[in-house]
Amino acid sequence: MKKTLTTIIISAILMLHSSLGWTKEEFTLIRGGSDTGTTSQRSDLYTTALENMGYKVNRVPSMPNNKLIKVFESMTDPVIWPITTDYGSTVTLDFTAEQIVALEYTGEMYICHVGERTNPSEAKIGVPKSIPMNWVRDQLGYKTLVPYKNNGATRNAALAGEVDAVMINQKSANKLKSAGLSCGVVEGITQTAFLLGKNFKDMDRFRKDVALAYKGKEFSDWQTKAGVTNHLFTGDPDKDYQTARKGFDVWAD
Amino acid sequence: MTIELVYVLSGVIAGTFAGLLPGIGVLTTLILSYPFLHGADILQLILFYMSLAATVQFTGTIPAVFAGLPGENNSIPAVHEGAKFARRYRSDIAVGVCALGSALGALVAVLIFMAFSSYALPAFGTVISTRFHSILFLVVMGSFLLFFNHRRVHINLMLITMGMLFGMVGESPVVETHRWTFGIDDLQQGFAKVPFVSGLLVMPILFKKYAKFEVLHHKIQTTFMMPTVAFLRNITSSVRGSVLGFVCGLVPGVTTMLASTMSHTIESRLHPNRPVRKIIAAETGNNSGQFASLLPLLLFGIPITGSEIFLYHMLVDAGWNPDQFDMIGENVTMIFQTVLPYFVMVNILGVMISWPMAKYSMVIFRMPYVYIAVFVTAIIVLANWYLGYNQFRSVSFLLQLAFFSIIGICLRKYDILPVVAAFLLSDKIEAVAVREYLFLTH
Repeated sequence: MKKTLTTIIISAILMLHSSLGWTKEEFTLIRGGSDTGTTSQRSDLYTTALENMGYKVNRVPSMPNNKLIKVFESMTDPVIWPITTDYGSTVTLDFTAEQIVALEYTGEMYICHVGERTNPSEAKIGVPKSIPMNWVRDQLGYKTLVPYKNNGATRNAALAGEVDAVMINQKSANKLKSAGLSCGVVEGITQTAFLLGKNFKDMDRFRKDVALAYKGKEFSDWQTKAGVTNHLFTGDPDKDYQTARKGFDVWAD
Repeated sequence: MTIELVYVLSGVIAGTFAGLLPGIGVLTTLILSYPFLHGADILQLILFYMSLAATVQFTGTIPAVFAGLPGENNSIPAVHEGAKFARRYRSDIAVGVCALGSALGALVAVLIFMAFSSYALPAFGTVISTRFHSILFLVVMGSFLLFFNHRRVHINLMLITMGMLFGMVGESPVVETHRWTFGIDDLQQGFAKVPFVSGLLVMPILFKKYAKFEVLHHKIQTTFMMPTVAFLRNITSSVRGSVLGFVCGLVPGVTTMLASTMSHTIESRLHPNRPVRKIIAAETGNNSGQFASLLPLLLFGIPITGSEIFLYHMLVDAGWNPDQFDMIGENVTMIFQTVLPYFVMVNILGVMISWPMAKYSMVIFRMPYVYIAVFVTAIIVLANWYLGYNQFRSVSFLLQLAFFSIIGICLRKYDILPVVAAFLLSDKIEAVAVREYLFLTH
């Protein structure tokens, strides 16, 4: 009887401990971009995956980039922010290694040639306006950069034949390849998506949960469809921070 | 399907009020509906707009004929001809033939588009180039320069310049930089569309129309047999108005206004003493023109009216990438499979509202306009606050609303649409201009 009672008490304590230990935090998810764009889709994935793990996610409406920074910096409660390195071209952001939750995916940048003029000093290259233009001039030698609103508009400029080359992301490059254009990877610049976060009681555990979410079906399917990989993710905050910081700085050039 | 139907029916209800209330046209109604459309997807927005704009063409006739008030600018011929019917106490005939003519106009426009899409559209290729955009923007802005404010080009030029300058505040469309923010963080995002348009355009309209509105006291009647016979006897005017209206509907800036005026003018030359033919042609023309005016936006991503320019921005906010819309073949399929079935439904509803139910619609004219003005003002203020709140900019939105309302009231004797169009299109026009410059100099 005494043994049974002891077993029950110990089991109850363990169960209580276990359940307390697994009580997940409530956090806010902030984001920029349109309601149906890539960042919005990523936010949906985070919400679904982390809510399935027991977290409570408070989502707020999309907001402009300068507001995002202010909200992220002023928050004293747990908060996450899905971001990409190309934000570097629009905002100045001093994130730290402690705020890096994880690297989410990496996509290559491509140059696709349209006409016969391939010499960078002579060719007109179409670029999304977020591209680091000084980097393209200095590193790739192009003199005439024609700016477009985004990757889709730049891709269409190639199809319309109004430029000699375009520099675009992986998704748009795949479409141009299927239209018969030749495209090559640009070395030294990638579009890397990552997750910032802060104010979690146990950041390491949150990082592990996010890493687990990336292995889930929803994230995997989405990345496969987008044609991106997560080969730079190490799980080491310092190394992941270096990757994100470097990418961010290239785009901020 | 169900949710899309809700947006279509909401558009019909909104269009009914927009057509009935003088001064509260498609653009104003779209602005007032903005908070309720928050979260709508691209297709839902297109369907709402299509329903709103199509219904207005029907319901705008009701106050024009029964009360001599143009619900929309393009109802002015109906006011003119409707007065002749009213003098003989036969406004019921005018309303009936207008409803039938409007429906036929929409049908003919669809048939013209079907023929056009089969033969002419493939010539445009699959991608819209910068040059094509340049030409279209030149035509759009040229029409605002030439056709507004009694064709006083210098006034229109001043208004367009003002709109461009306001539109250039904030983020540049060609490089990642912010300009003319005067150290105010909030201006990095530029002036917001809703406070700009509602302050500059809607508030002065309410101010202007208040004195002109009269409460309706006399009884309204509708009949069916005589209008039907009258319409069938004069159906050639309706067909003529439809074809002419379709062509005029493609002229940027003036679309349905030109469609109804031109149809009315031509019919006046052909049948000077037949008011029934003239009113049928005018009202048929604006319905046909309304459908035609939607096509440049749906096919090429080029808005050609003030309300379409605003819709364009709503679509972009909802995630629409106009460049993805440049695949014309896909857009034609989208129009045929999704928009047209609802368009037919809206036209059937439009006939019912503007004919058998016309007398019920006129109940709104039995209340003092001050109530309507206060109601609309309250909605505008709440809409601005709500949209600002969603972007963490509620104070900024209300301040901008006050600022642009003052400017709008100061400029109330001018038609302000060129300012609005230039403001809303400024980033696209600037981007196209910069690219053209690079192409020409390199």
